[in-house]
Amino acid sequence: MGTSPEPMAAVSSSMEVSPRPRRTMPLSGRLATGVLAIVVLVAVFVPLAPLPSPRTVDTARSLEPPLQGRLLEELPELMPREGEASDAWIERGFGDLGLVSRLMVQGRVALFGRWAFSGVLGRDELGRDLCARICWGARVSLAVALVAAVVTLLVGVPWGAVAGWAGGRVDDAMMRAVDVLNSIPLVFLVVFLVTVLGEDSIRLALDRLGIGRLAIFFLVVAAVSWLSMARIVRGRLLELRDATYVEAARASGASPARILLRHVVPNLAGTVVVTLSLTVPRVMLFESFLSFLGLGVQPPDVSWGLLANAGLKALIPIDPAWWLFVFPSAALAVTLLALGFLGDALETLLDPRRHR
Amino acid sequence: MIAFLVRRVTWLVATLLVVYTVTFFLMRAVPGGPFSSERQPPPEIREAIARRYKLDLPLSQQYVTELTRLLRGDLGMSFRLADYSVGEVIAEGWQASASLGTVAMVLAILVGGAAGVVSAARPGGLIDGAVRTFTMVGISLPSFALAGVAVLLVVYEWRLLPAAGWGTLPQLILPAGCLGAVYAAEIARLVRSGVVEAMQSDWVRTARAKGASHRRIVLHHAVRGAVGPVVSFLGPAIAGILTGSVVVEKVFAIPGIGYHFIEAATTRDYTLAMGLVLLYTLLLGVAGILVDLVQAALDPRINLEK
Amino acid sequence: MPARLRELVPWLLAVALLAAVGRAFWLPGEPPADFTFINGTEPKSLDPQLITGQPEGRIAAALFDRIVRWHPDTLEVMPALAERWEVSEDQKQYVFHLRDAVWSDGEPLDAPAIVAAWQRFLDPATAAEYSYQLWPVRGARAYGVGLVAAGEMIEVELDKQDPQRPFARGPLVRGQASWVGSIANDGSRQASDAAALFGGSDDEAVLVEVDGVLYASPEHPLVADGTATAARAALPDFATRVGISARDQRTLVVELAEPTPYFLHVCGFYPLAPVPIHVIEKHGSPNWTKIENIVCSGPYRLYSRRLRDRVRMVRNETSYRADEVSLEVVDALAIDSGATALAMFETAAVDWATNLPPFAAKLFIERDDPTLRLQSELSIGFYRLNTTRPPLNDPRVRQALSQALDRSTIVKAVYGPGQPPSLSFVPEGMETATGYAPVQTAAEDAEEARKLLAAAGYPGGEGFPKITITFNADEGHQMMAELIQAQWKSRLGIDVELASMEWGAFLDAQSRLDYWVARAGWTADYVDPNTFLDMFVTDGANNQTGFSSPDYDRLIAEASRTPAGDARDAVFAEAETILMEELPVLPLFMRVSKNLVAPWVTSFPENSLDIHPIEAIQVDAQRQSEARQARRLRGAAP
Repeated sequence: MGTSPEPMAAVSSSMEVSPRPRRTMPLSGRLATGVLAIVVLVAVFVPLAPLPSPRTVDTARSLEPPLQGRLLEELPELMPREGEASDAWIERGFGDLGLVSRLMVQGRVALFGRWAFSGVLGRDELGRDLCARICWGARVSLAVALVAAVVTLLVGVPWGAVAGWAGGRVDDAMMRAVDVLNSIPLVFLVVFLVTVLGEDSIRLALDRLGIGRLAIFFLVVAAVSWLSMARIVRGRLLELRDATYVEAARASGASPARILLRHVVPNLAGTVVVTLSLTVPRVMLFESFLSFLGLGVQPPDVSWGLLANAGLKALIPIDPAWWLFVFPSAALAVTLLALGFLGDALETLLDPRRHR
Repeated sequence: MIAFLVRRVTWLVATLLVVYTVTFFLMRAVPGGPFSSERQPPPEIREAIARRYKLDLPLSQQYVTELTRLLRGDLGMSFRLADYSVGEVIAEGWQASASLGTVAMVLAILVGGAAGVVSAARPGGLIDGAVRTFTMVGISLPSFALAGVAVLLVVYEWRLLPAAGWGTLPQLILPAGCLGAVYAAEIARLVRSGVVEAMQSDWVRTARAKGASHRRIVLHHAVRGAVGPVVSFLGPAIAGILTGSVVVEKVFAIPGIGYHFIEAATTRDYTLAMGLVLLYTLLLGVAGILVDLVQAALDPRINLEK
Repeated sequence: MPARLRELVPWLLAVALLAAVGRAFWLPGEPPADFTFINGTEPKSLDPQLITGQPEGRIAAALFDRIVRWHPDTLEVMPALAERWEVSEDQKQYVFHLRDAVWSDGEPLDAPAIVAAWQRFLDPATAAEYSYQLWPVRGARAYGVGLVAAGEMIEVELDKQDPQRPFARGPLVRGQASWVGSIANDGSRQASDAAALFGGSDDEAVLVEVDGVLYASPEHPLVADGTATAARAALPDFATRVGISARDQRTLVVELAEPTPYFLHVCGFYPLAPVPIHVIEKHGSPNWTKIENIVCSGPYRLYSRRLRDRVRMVRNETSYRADEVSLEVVDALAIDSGATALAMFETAAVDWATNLPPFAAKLFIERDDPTLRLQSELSIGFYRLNTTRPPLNDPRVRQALSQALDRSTIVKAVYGPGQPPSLSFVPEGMETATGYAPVQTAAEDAEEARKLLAAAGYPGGEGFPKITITFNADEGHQMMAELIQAQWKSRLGIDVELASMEWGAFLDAQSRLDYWVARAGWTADYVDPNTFLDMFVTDGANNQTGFSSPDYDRLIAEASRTPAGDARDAVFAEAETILMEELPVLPLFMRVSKNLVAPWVTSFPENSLDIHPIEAIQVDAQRQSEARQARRLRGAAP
């Protein structure tokens, strides 16, 4: 992950930097926003959707291709079995849900009963519905992205900003720390962190704090994703500090706070947003890379990376279960594409150095 | 320039030391060790093993012993690959990784560079749109997805190339292609944006005013502007690609060192893991220095001493 | 930057680029081998004494011969380096008459060479993980542990080097130890009953005194001031105290501590293969395994080895079996990705694959694909129960957990048809192999299980603490754990959590008894019930359940003293009965080995230890080369 480019970090900075008036977002950007909005909506509202549960195993229907069997049916798994607590079926089929999601699932049963669109995208080798798994996997994949984005904003931006603004020794020291972290191959770091944090005693302690295993995984991924942002923000801040109009503002007696607010932050915001839109896809790809290595999200949790990798294993030469690979990869690719186009569009809009 | 080099090299050494310390303690903190196995030998044998490999000494002593050994240039013997020293493992794996990486990077530069230039020649045109979409898809796909599809099509369906392995030219093509594809997409994007930007700069406007042809402008002036960002991308990218792409190595069974990165960590092969981490840090550092030097060479405005 | 340098840089770059590209295309291709197979992971070592895994074992068994070998189909003991042997009445003495064998460099592979090799195997300095397989030999365990006590004959290895043989053992001083103990700084002596070598800090460092001379490790302060002589190790005297000796060049005599009926079988196990001590002493370990140094004795010898690529072996003309071998050149590929293995198999790049993706395995089984060879193994999948943690310390609870399981449904769901469930710890296949009939635990009975749980104090599962099933990250293990979790919930009413762990951490947790229920597996090392049952003696290294029963220990010890036959089987049956009543483990299923074998392989031996000696494999070369050309395994049409 640490080998991808940091855009514009190297181009010399003598171009004009005064903010330009905004133009409208290009079509690609608007389409991309639309697609992303759909993905987010799906992820948030999937508990309400009339789909089967993502965890229910039905070995009799193992490897059912898409659009086979009864597409609309009543599912026995969506109600309590005899002798169980009245809520146990939720945990069985959907895992440990938060309050809102739980309410949504109950709402779904109230609305649609036990009817569901089942087998629309096919089933995996344990008979689990692929469409449901993809939709529920969206939650995890987007959550990873969200956590990474938040950490990047909360840690990376201040780090880089302080380093760039302060300059000199402080800058050197802070950037060296970033360099060192960048130098340790990410995989090592992740493997170690995942296993150390997965250690029983530590895990139990974190569990009491409400941080489950999935959250640990997110944090680990986020921990390695803020480095890029720190470096870019620092570079940008160095440019801004020495920019002519900032000099002018200083010469005309404006206070540092005013300079910051009126000149630095607007210019910085553009860079930050654009870099963020590039970090997020990278984090999602990293998550799927970890799944490839077997270090990513663990079953029974499900993410797009996990599904894509499981699907990859299904691409055997005889009778490949192609749907297990194509649909999750498509979901991932479409989301990442949308993020990419959005990033490009934002670049045009917000980054004042580019005049296209 | 000498001052610059001295400063950078000193920082590199300091970084190596810090990386060594962090990695050392991180590895020892993780449960399990190099000799964890499903079949447990009797405790006396386990003690004999610990004694033989000096794993029973206190941590601080192990830290110092290993550091002195490293300073002598001895990376030690691998735990997991017991017949090989760490140096030998790296040397053997390096050949395949370097070969693969070089071919992949050259492909990436050629294909990506050409695509970027062609696309930037007429921004907004049809070719530009096509290239931009392709490159976007290229960086949006996980590499294992690309490799999986490539194997399915090229190996199974069309039976054009061998499935995996190393040693002959046909075995090189598919892995180099998969590895290079992602980098080609990134390079294409960088080149495109660099050229587009350069085309709007003052000196290109001057050249146009002087009557230079469009093609000459693009090829001569604009490309020079694009080289900067590409070079700075290449530095860390080369370090990364040379230390191997794990995905490609796993899928195509290439005996490179990328695979060792993962294996050493998961099997707690302390010595090999440490050797690889230090190698990666060194490469990254050297690549960074070289990149800065090359950039200074290409762009007279850059002052290294700042 | 100076202008001159700046101009040079683009040219330097271009040259560097050309050089790199040129070098990149210089590829080390090789002509294909007669037989190529996928061996799983990269072998840890070629030294048979330092390995424990199956991939390593396949190569070691081809390169190094043992004194006996196992029949490829029946696993019966057959002559190898030993042409014939005699066993004494009390079954404690074996006399092996060796054939006239040589190493591949011409040196004789005679009885003294074997004695030296087995001494290295037992030497604590070698740290051979499987050395306990030789511990049935009289005095071997004491030697392997290195315990010396006052009054015993010992050998002390001096800290001196023979420049001609840099890796040989130093000169030995043999004599009776008059005193063993440690000496404090003030000079006071503290004798110990028995102590191992020279370990510990200075105060605890062990010294020995032989014939009035004091010996200590080279770092000891008393060595510096001349009071003690530097020595590397002090061990029981091998010649007199360990029961391995050479009566003459071609006669090897082994004396056991107890009549161990399976000992002859163990002699065919690959870690017991003699290694060339003369080469090891010259080049040291592990350098002796390098291609320019290595010397072999088996039907194959090493030709080349490229790390993570392949081990290439060629027929060894100096072996007495050279004429039986039909494959001249054999490649063992190190590929651990099941998907890649399948890809290579389907494109006829390999002739035999030992691993395949579980996905494909199920598919192939369902379609009855002839290339997939299934063989039930002497191998068992089971769950360990931590008997030190309540409520699992109550055998009624453990019985309840076992009887509540519908094993056949679970196993079928996870592994498909073909992998049978098991109610005994020793796999059923042991009966066909040795005549021993395994003892089963109580069959599935949910009602009875509920009663047992209630009797233990948890009626309907009330009050039962939340326990965790731990397993290493793997879809199959996950699925099995989920199904068991569901069955325990629905039949017993108890809540069970699942924890997937990374391999190293998982093994660590088990060995520290830091788990409730843990998934495990065990494969026989040799064909005898003992390999399964002696795991659970008190504090056994592979027990890892906290189970301890003096009766059980007594029975296992008795079995190792009893000659093979009905009486011994009865003792084992009694022991297994205890095991199946106490249930520190829940037997689940018998494992089935899966191998993909190409159609042109005309002879492929199969047995219940999943051992396929390479020298017994034969191929139809014509069909093989056709398939390779076409890159197609299955006929003309896809």
